[in-house]
Amino acid sequence: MFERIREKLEILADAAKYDVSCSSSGSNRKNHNKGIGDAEGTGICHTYTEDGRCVSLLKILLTNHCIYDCAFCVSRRSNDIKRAAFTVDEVVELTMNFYRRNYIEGLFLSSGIFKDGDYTMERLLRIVKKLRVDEKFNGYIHLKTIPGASPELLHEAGLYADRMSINLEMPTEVGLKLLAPEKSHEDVKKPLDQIQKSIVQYKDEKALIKSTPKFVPAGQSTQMVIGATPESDKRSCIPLMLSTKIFL
Amino acid sequence: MELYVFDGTLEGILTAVFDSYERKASLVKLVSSEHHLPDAFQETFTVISEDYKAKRVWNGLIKKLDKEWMKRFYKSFLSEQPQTFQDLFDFAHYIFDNLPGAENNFGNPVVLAVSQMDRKVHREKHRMEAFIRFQQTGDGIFYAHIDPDFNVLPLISDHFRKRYADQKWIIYDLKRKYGLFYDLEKVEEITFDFTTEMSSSLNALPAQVLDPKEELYSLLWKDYFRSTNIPARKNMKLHIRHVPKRYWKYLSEKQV
Repeated sequence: MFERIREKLEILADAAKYDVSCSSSGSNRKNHNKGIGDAEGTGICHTYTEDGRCVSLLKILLTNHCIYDCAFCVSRRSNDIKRAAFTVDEVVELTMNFYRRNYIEGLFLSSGIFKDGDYTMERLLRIVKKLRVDEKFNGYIHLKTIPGASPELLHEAGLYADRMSINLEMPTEVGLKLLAPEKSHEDVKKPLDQIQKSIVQYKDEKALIKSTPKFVPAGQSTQMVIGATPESDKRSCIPLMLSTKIFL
Repeated sequence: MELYVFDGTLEGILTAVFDSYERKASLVKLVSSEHHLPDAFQETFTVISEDYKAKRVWNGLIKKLDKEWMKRFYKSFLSEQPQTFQDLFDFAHYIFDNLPGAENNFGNPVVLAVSQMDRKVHREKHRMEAFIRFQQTGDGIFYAHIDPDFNVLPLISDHFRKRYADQKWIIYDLKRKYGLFYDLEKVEEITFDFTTEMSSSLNALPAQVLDPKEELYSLLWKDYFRSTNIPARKNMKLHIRHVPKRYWKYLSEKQV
């Protein structure tokens, strides 16, 4: 038991470490219920890795089992690596116990995709819900959106997470088809657009009704690999323009 | 030049400012009694801290300085540096003797010194918010001890009270021999003596007073720290700049 959880953490932290995002700032969640945690204001780097990167969040994957075979990803189906998966309770307990000891500012949760988008997203949602509702956790949570998950799940997750993100992966659709043939930009743009519209909607309602709940208060982000496919810089800029369209 | 000896408190500095005006002293050297070495050829004046004098000077400063500057004044004081005591004394004089806005004259060495010391104390405060590592004891209290460069406990108390509202915790300053205790209601100052087995030289509490799960989680944290590192990009120079070596002794991920 002892050894198994250690091994899982090792595998799933290792698989998540190349994700660039580590910020824990930008949210405005206060400790309002005498619970635990406070994600207001600036972020804190609790330690730094030996390569000099900030460690602010418990950055892990729920699982590195994946049905996709994206060439740029260590967890791709065809890669011969050790696989592991946390249970919902394990992630909740790890987060709470790390947080209580002042090791971290919160949780960064991403995942490989087992079975399908909804099946995975449902588990991610259960984790954040459990943290927020059962544990009264007010720390920072960054949740990765799973491409192909239904809008209802995304919307509910947005009520609990501080920041959400879904990755465009490649600057152009052509490049994406080359390296991740099972994915498409359409699958990503839809949730990006949905979250953005909801953020705007909740903000508007907040102006009228004070008790409107928070919805992704730290906003959303996306990432992509630049330089893996032979696009020119000019071509690479297209999604940047596109993203300003989404985000503004 | 007159030598003023005070008790090392903030009230002491403020009272010294009051006294110096009352005694019409033009040049004053301010020393805390802790750092004072008696000198046969120097006349000394002992400042006796008095509340009403200190309050009057403090209120006088409030009239001329904004909130930000009052905080800076207090934070610089917490550095406990002998030179800073003198700087604060001179700063108060400079503010009272000049028109409003004098605090923005960073060409004045005293203004500069106070604001630089404020930055240093602030940085130490932020580091403590990051580097404190609690250990859960058998009776459910989360305990951490620190030994910060400056006396930052008063500055971090609010941060931890807001954040860990549902757990009891103690943060103990080994250098200054006092700590903060949060009992789920309020934060109190405490002092206690260490028994030999809980000697302060230990960076962790002995296993028998800890919660049985404590060992697992500090181990998992160490594992996490190791596996989130990218060995191929090792950069110790940068690592040490962010996590200076003097803090390592109380960082659980840095213990072997």
